[in-house]
Order: sequence, then structure tokens, then C-alpha cells
Amino acid sequence: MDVEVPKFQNTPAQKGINGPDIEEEDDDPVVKEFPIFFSNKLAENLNLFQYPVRPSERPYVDAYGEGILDSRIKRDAGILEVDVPIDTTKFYDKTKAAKKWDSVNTQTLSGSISHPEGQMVGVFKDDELHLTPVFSTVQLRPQFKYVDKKSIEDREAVKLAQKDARSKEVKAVQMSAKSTGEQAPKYSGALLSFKQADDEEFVHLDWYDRDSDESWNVADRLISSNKESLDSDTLPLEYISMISCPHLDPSSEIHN
Amino acid sequence: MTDHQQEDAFNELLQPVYKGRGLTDAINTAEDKWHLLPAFLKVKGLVKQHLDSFNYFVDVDLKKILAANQVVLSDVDPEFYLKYLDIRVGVPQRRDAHAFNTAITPHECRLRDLSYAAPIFVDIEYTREKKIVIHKSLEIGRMPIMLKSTNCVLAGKSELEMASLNECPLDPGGYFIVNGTEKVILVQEQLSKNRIIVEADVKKGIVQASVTSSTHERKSKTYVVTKNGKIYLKHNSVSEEIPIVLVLKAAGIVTDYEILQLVAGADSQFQDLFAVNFEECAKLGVHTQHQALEYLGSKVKTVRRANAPKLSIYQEGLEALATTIIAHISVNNLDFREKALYIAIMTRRVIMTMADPKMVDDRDYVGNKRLELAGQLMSLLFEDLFKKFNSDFKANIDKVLKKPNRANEFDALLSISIHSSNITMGLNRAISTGNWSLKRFKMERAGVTHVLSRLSYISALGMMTRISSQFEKSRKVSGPRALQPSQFGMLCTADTPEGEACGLVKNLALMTHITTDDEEDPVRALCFILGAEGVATIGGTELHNPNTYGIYVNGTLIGITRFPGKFVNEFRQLRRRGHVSAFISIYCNHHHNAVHIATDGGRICRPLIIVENAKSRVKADHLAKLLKGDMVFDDFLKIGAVEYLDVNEENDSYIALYEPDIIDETTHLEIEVFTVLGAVAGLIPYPHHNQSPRNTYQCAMGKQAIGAIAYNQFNRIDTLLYLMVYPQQPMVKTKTIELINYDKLPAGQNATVAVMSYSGYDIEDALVLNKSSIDRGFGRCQVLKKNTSVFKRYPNQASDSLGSVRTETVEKRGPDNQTVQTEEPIFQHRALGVDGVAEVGEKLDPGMVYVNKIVPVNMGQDLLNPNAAADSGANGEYKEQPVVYKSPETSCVDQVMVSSTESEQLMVKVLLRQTRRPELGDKFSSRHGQKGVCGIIVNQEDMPFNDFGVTPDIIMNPHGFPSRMTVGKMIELISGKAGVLDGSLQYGTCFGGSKFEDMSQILVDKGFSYSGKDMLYSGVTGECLQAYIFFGPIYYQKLKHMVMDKMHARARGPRAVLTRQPTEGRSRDGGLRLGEMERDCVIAYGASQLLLERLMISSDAFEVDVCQTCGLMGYNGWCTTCQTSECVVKMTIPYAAKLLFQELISMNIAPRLKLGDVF
Repeated sequence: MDVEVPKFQNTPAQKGINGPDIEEEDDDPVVKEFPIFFSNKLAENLNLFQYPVRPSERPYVDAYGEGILDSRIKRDAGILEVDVPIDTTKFYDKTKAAKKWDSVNTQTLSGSISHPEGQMVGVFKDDELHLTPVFSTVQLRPQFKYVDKKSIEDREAVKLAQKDARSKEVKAVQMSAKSTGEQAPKYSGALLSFKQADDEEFVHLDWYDRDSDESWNVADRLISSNKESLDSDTLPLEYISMISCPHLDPSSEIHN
Repeated sequence: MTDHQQEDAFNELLQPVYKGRGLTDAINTAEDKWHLLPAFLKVKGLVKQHLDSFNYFVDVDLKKILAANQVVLSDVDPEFYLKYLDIRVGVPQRRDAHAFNTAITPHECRLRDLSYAAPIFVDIEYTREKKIVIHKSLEIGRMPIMLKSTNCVLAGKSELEMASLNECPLDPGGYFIVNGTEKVILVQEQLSKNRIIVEADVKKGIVQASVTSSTHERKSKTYVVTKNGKIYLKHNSVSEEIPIVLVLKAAGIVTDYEILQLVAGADSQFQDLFAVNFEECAKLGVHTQHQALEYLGSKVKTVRRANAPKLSIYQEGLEALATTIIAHISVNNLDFREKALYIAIMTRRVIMTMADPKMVDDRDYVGNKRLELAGQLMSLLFEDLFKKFNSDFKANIDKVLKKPNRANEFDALLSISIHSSNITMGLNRAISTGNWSLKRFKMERAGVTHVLSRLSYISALGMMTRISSQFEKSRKVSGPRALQPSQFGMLCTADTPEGEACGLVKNLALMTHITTDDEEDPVRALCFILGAEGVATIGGTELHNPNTYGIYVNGTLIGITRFPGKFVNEFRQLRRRGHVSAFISIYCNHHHNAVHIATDGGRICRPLIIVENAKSRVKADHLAKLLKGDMVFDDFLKIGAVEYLDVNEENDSYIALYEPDIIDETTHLEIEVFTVLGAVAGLIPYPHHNQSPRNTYQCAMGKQAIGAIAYNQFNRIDTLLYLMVYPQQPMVKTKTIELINYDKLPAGQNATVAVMSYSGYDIEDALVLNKSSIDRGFGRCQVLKKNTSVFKRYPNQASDSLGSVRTETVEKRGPDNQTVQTEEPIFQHRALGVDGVAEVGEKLDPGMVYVNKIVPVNMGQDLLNPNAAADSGANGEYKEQPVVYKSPETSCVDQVMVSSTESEQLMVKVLLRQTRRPELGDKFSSRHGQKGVCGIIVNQEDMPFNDFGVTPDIIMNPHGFPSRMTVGKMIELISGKAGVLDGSLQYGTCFGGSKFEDMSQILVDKGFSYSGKDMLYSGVTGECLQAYIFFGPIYYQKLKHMVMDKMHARARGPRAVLTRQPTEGRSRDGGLRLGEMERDCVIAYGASQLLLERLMISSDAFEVDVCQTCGLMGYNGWCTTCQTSECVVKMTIPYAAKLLFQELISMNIAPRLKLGDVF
């Protein structure tokens, strides 16, 4: 991404309408300069996991005793799941958990993968900044699958009980033949994606803790070994025309 | 641009020497920047919004519609498919069967009652017995073409070429011709789509945020409302209100912690207000997304189409949340993130309003409005028709493909062409009736189109700039009718009708542009390049941080930025350099911490000069180039000197009216201040000196003034046409008048007015007219009326025809005093020529025939003996069915046109002309909302005169001034008088114009009083009048209301069939109704005999036979009920009463009359 970003001057005329955060060049002098390097060794493999409901002071790492236990992915549907342990010592109703949810002690976090553009991860080392583009991001949220499981079980139990009561009555059975083609309903949109996601099997992923050697070895690849300066193939004007979105006047052919 | 276009009249404004100013004159930026306005109008024209919108529809939207409905599949044969590859609209074509030249002009369509339409071609790819066939340029229907749009034959034509096509070069275009009538699709004003609007009902304590989602498939409205302090989501497809926390859980935000973060952020006041909602959801026992979706699914009103799969409640919930709730945000791959954020933001806006009631949005703010134009309406209609076309086609091929063994090869092409008339008819019918019915939105809208008013050039122009609102006229709300400050420069502040539609019907200002859709995706991409952080990785904390601003593209959050000022600035710089469409707007909303970018169509915007460093970006050399013709308006956009601002962005700017007003904070400068007014209000001289309602009245009356209509007015055959015989351009013009060419097609005359009392026939605004002025042609006008007769053809080969002239023998005295017998046409046929049609120039008196049409007696088909029927039809008997002239005044035959309709039937159009001179009671008006009728016509010798012997054309009573406060009219008189004496035309442009001081100086120089008052002498006595009289020219308009069209009296006449009461209305020679209030007066007065006479004897008296025994009515002195004539008496009752009795009897109610003696 070594492309020249177009420079704009901040005209005083615009000041009046701007927010409070415009930095003036004069009272914000350059203190120090660092070289920036671009690394793409992990370009296809760097994924950003976010835990929106977890404070950053308490990461899911083994060092805190709350490391991630297990992880799996549905690649086509773009669904990722990780299991984390539940702290059963605090704020945990053992009796209720035992009674209702088979003493659940892990929690599943899940999220759907998105591929944002223009995001990078930087490593600052030896006064050098090394940047690697992020391939995908996932926000992982708790899913409470045990609650769903319980409620489905309960409902089935009720159904079964009703069925038992009813099965004593004699009922006429009617048979009908259906052609195979009509049976599979045609879903579209969200229902289709749900069905596809439901049909896909989870693929197990090996998880390495933040502090493990494997993690640190991979992290080394964030540092670029190529220290040559990169030249842009794209001219500034070309770049500008690439990002521009001019108005297309259908009747312009007549006027020009 | 082609060379011949340079000859256009518009270019006059850009010529080296214009209005006495040459190229060599010094350029004064403050004065001369107004030349940008003619430059703007040259590019855009006054109806550019219609043309732009229609062109966008034909060139872009049609293709989008095609892409959305690209494939037609068969339910029966899985192999079959038909795919649309491309769609095009051709040039308008003539549809006559044997035409050797298919080119057609709009004027021919007007004259021959045809539709000005062009074929729609598609390229298709389909399977024919396992082979893939590509067929190009298949016609699927005909599209009415907007005049002067890209597909119209008039597009880009020069004045000369326009004239050769019988078209007026000054005609703005922008309308359709359907079945010979000119139809305008009025601009419709609507609340903006896909935007959150927050409203509050203070009395009920309700706050609601609503959003109208609009996609190609559906339109739906989602609400987030408060109820007892708790927040719910409401939607038409969900049977009850759903707690908002539950909805957010369904959208995948499961933990209460994150919900609170997303909705309230770190603000403790918001958190407190929102906290109560968690309880609601917990009570329902909903904790997970699955449970929430099931709950939602159980509340969904299911409307399943036939043979659609049955869904579980979980699936129902999923489907509802993904596709119907907030439908404009699509859900891909079960990623509900964007939708959850949208709902959270709606909820936050509700909470913000609960905390601070001032945070409500203003529905009437023009920035929250979108204008729907012809193109968008046509696009909605076309998509509906195209879907119908495809489903008809599908049904048709399914029927064929169902057959197990078909005899010959099946070609889908044959079935597709069957339905092509559906699209043509659908479009034609919608435009000609104005009923827009869209099946997919279940929308019915009436009155979308109107017949283009050709009363005067201004009325046609006024119609093209008119905007009608969707609000009900009957509702008594003042908000939508009030003048909005945000209207400034966008919508005319003066031009609105009086009465029920006041404030609901508006008009565009002179220099406005209405946007068409711009692509959204590149804008999103650009935002991220400019440093926006996408929503995928941010949470509530970051979003609602006081230092971050959300970036919204067309109302949808796409990211955040910590540097909104820098972001907005850079975006604007890109736009000013032409890298972003000039019609995309961006502005900061500091109350919502939001940067809004709008790319959608229908926003009103206007150009303004950019000011940088307290300096205007338009420099003197730019203007010099503009005058020389080296630069056009678009060049000013390209160099970043001028930019378009929509209402929202305008509100975020600091605009100086004049160059000296520029201060450091100024961001923009007005191009011209008089552009706050529209085209119609622009006719008023010195409007800034008038009381504002007077300007509004003039806007209504300017459209009724009789004048020149178009350069092709004598070639037109309209149903009703008023033309002024000697129209003049006003002595006191405005710049707007020149810009819209009112000086070339004026509607009025410069009358010399004396403001004084005369004769007593001038009370209540009545005017005294000079008889000699009338003789010289003042206020003379022509009325042209059309009559069309179509000669039908019948199934038995017979057809209507023209009869010959009937003659009679007349005895005449010859030159040698001998009686000679000659054959002469009977009186009725005196105007007819040998062909049975009146000859051009013949005078028609009442009772005369002008088209002697004859109709075959036998026109049905004789099934038993077809040949005999043909004989009797073709050569058989005819009966006369002539067109008789009925009006009491005589007319002349102006034009006769003989042509054929599209179905090859003979058509004769006769245009009748009346020339009318002003008479007592005719209505006149100045340009200041001062109307009056002619009260008396006075001989010139009796009129007052001045030292030079000048007599006034009109004497106006001075009482018209004090209460009306139309000071502009007085200044018009003085400027006009100065102009007459000086031999120049003066200007009365709004916020400018010729200065009073200068005008007074001219008057003094020419030996007149500075105040415009003259010494007059009485025409009757010759004595000098005791006071000085305000005396000078004022432009007067003759209005279409003329006594001759209204005069009506009746002694005896026709009666209605059902009630036997006199008919109603002048056209049916009806009586004047003595209504219930008048009746009450007569009753109160006790004039019983008068009552009896008015209500019965002179109306519907009827003699009935009443049986005194049974009380029912009999007849001929016989009671059928009692079978006797014993007690039957005669009495007179109103026929309506008799009718009532019979109707009651028919419903098994017996009204019995009990008769008693009067004395």
C-alpha cells in the first residue's frame, strides 16, 4: 500500500464548520521519524479476533487461567466458534447449573467472519514499524447454547408426553406419495444461508495460547525481512481516478 | 456542442455585447457574477429536473430493472430459461400500417391525437428445444417519450430546426404527449426514504423513531416507539410490539452488556433511561438469539404464497428480521451486525429525545424531503408492468410446455410478443388518467399527471416547476403548509396557491437542480480510504465516544472517524476537484455526532460560489471568459469555483448574500439573490417593495393571463386556446423575464394608468377603460375552440361519411328588377363547402352546421345474410348527424384539419375562432396581485388628459393602494414612465432593478415631476383637476375570466329526466338554484306563495291522483289499490315528492297521504 495519499490543505475558510479536532501544522511539530515496512508473509493468514464483551485487561490466555479450550470453523458459512472456561468460583449458581444445565463449565463464543479492506496490524520493533494487512476480522460473542439446548429438550419432552397421551387413541393413518423433486423446499436469502450454515460441518482448529512458543514463532513473521523501499506502480493521478466516483450524466453526450 | 446551437436565443445572453455592455467594459465581479445564472439555465434549462430524471430512467434505471428481473424460468420444464441481456429505447416512431417514413414529430402527435412513444427493445437469450438462441432487438412495448429528452427528436435541435419541425423553440419540453394531449407528471414531494425520523408527542409522552425502507421489491415502515417509558419495535408485518432488547438479541447482540454499550454508550443518563428495557425481555424468558428469533417468529403475521415451503417459527423470525424489518439493509451470510447497529442507533435516537425533547427531527425541513420526478414514477410503473409481462409470459409458456407431446417445435419468441401491448397500454393509461397503481407496493395514487396548461406561456412553465405534496388537503395542520426557512433558494417563497392547497403545492426556485441517484459503493470505498473505520470491528464504546463521529452514507452507518472536520474537508476537496460527483453532499451533524453523506436522488440543490480565505473563487477573468464564451457553467464546477449544495449541506455552510458581506467564516457566496423566487414570481417588478401576499396573488394570476403561448400557436389545434392580439413586452422587465423568455412570449400590455377616481363606476377595484384604447386593440384577444369528429367504420363495411350541402330555391331580384329563382344552400349549410365541411374563413351563426357528418342507418352485422348487410351498409341509407354551432356569439372557421387516426379512421378537426374586445365585466390585473373588472368604458374625449394630450388607457381607483400596500406597483409606474420618456426599458428585478432616484432624475430631466404625478385636465369640463394625478404606464394583464363565457340567464329550458327539475349549470342552460339558505329566508319572511312558486310551480310541479281512502297515488282518477274511483282527488305536488313516494313503496314502505280541507 505504498501509494501516495493526496494532500489537502486545510483552508481557514473551512475552519468554522469543522469539529474541535483539526490539528494545525504549526503547534504540532514532527518529533521523530520512523521507517515503515510492509510485510506480507502472513497476508492470507492474519485474522483479528475481537471479544466485544470482554475487558481487554482480562484476555483469554492461559496465564490468567482462562485460555481458550477449543476452536472450530465453518469456512463456507464464515462462522467461527471458540470455547472458553467459565469461572465457577464467582457469580456462579452451582445448584441451578447442576439442575438445569448439567453443570455447564465452558462457554462458547461465536461470530461471523468479515473481510474488511484497508486494515493492518503493526509491530513496533527496534524503531521500525512493520505492517501486515489483516485478512479477516471476527467479533466473538457468547452464545449460551446450553440454554437453547435445554429449552429444545424441554419442549420435546412436552411433545413426547402429549404424544404418549394421544397415542393410546386409535388413529387412521393416511399415506400419500410425494415426488422427490418437490420435497426439498427452495429457500432464498437468509433462510438459504441459514440452511447452508446448518448443513456445513465444523472443522476443528488447533489453538495455541498467546504465550506459547508456536505463537511467538508465527508472530516473528510479522516483521518484514525485505527492507528495500517499495515503489508504487500507480501514479498519484491514476490512484485518484481509481478512488473517484464522478457523476455520470446520461445526457452529457448531447451537451459535449 | 454543435455550431448551430450557438444561434439559439439563449446565447444572446452570453454574447459579447449584451444589454448595452460590451466585452471591453470592466468586469465587476460583484455585479457581473449574475451571468453565471444564464449560463446555468443554458445548461440546465427550467425543466432540466424532468429531463434529467427521465434520461436517467431510460439510460440507467431501465437497465437496473432488467438486471433485477433478468431470468424467466419455467415451473414445468427445468431446462427452459429466458434471459434478458440488454434493454434499449429507440426513437419515437409512427405506427401507421403503411407508413413509408416512420419518423414522427411531436407536433404531428398533437394534431393527430397520437402518442409520442418509442419502441422498447430487448436482447434475449432463451432455449428452443435444448438449443440456446439469442434474439436481438425484440420489441416488448412502447414507451412514451418526454419531449426534449435524449430520445426525443427535438433533443439538441437548434432554433431553426425546431421551427422546421413545427415546434416552438422556446418550449421547455419535459412533458409527454399521450393520445394527442400534453401531459405533465408533476413533481411529488415525499419524506426521505431510508432515513431515521424522530418525532415526539409531548402530550402523550411518546417518542418514536421511524424509517421508511424502500427497495426495489418492497416498501415498509419500521418504528422504534416508547410505551410507558419502555421501548419497542413496531412493524406492519409483526402483530404486536416487540421489546427492543429482544429484537437486538434476535439480531445477535445477546449480552445485556453489549446491548447497553451499543445503545447508551458510556452516558449514565442514557443508561438509566434504557435499563428498564432489560427487565421486559428477561420476563419473557428470552436469553439467546435462538429464543429471540422464535419469539419474533411467533408474532409474525404470515402471508404465504401458494406452494411456498412452510416455515418453522424460528425460520419465520429469521426471515422477518432479515428481509422485512428495516428492509433496506440487507443481511448477507447471517451477519446481522449492520442491522443490529441500525436498530441500536434508532433506539439511541429515541433515548436522546427522551432525555432532551429538543432532539426531535422536523418533518417539514426541506432537507428531510425528497422529490419524486417523472423518471422515478415511470420507473416504478415500468417495473410493475415488466414483472406482470414476465409472469404472463411464464404462465403462457408453462401452459404450452405442460403438454407432454407437442406437435411442433416450441418457440418462446411467439409467446413473448403477444403481451407487448400490456406494457404499452399500461404506460399510456397511467399517463393519460394519472392513476398510478403499483401491485407490488399495493399503492394506488391518483392525480399524478395533469394536462399541461397552455393558457399562457407562463402557465405552462409554472406547471413544469410545480411540486405537489402528498399531504391531505383537508387536514388542518399548519406545519406542512408553513414557509420553511430551509426553503430559501430551493423553493419559491411567493408562489403557492391560495385556499385549500396553500403551502402544500410549491414551486421550484429559479436556480435549482434535483439530483438523480449516484452510485453508493464507490463512495463507501472512498470513505474508508479517507480514514473511516468500518463498523465490523467497532463496538458501542468506540461508536458513542464523544470524540468520534459516525459516518452515514444515505442514512446507514458505515464507519466512524475521530477527525470529522478533516474527513469532511478532504471529501469536499475531492468533490470540488471533480473526483466525486458534484451532487453528492456531505455535512456534519454535531448534535448526533454524525457525518452524513447523501448520494440518493430527489434532493433539491443549488449552485453557490465557493469562498476560500474570505475571497470569492469566481474571479474577474473567469467572468470575462464566460462572457466571451470560453467557459461554460460546468467549467466553473470543474475548477472548483462553484459547487452544488443540497439543503442539509447548505445548512452547514455560512453563505454571504453579497461580496462585501464576506467575513472570515464565510464559506459560500450567492450567485444571485433574486433566485430565491421562481419563474412565475420572477415576473413581478420590484416584488421586494410589495406586501408578501400580493406577490402570492400575482403568482396565481400570472398563470391566468392571456398572451402569446408559443411561436407555433397558430399551428396548434387545442381544445381551448386564448391568444392576445397585440401582446407587448413589459416596460419594466426583470432579469428573470429575460431568462425565461417572457419578453418574447408576453401576456399583457403596457397601459397608461391614471390613479384617480372617475365616474363612480370604479368602486371595489373596478377599472375605467378608454373606448379608443379598446378600438386600437387594447385587451383584444382571440378564443380558439376545437371540435373533433371521427368517422367510424362499422363491421358491415359501412362507415360514417360527409354529406352534401342541401339547397333551397330562393327568389331574388335580379339587376333588371326581375325575380330570379336561384338554388342556394339552406341557412344551416351556408358555411359548408362541397366536401361537407365548413370552409376556412366562413362565419358561423348559431344553428349552422360546420361538419355535415352522416351515419349509416344500418351498421350492425347481419349474421344471416352478410352480403346483403354489406350492400345495405356500403350503399345503404344514411342519416344526418351534423355538428351544429350552438354558442350565441358568432365564430369564424379558423382551420380545418383532415387526417386519419392510428386505426386509419378519418378524422376532421375544425378550429373555431372568436375575436373579443374588452367589455364590461372582463377581468384585468396588474403584476402586483391587483385585479379588477372593467366597470365602465368611457369615450376618449371624456377622459382626463395631460399637457401633451395623453389620455389614460385605464383609470384606477386610488383606494386600491392604502390597504394593499403594493409599493412595487407605484415604482413600476415611475420606472415605466421614465423608460417611456427615455426610450429605454427599465428593470424591476427583485432586490435590485432600476433605482427610484435615477428614475426620478430622468423624469425631472424630461420636465416631469419626480414623483410621477402630472397635472390633468377634465375631459368633460376641460378644467384643470384639483389634484396632481399619479400617471404613467403599468403593465396590465387580461385574465381569462370573461363575461361572455359566464353570462347566463334562463326563463324556461331543459329539465333533468329523473326529477323533472330544471337542469344545473350554464352549459346545460340550467336554472339558478334557490338553495336551502335562501329557502330559510323566504320561510322566515313568511312569503308562502313565493315559496310555493319557487320550489314547486316554477320547478317540478306535477299533478297526481290521490285516493283519500288508502292515501296512495293512483292514475286517471282511479285508485288501483282500492279498485275504485270514488275518493280519488287531483292535487299538485313536486315531482321529486312523487318520486320519493314511489321509491319508498318499492322498499315496502307505504307513505300514505292524509288529505284535509284548507278552509
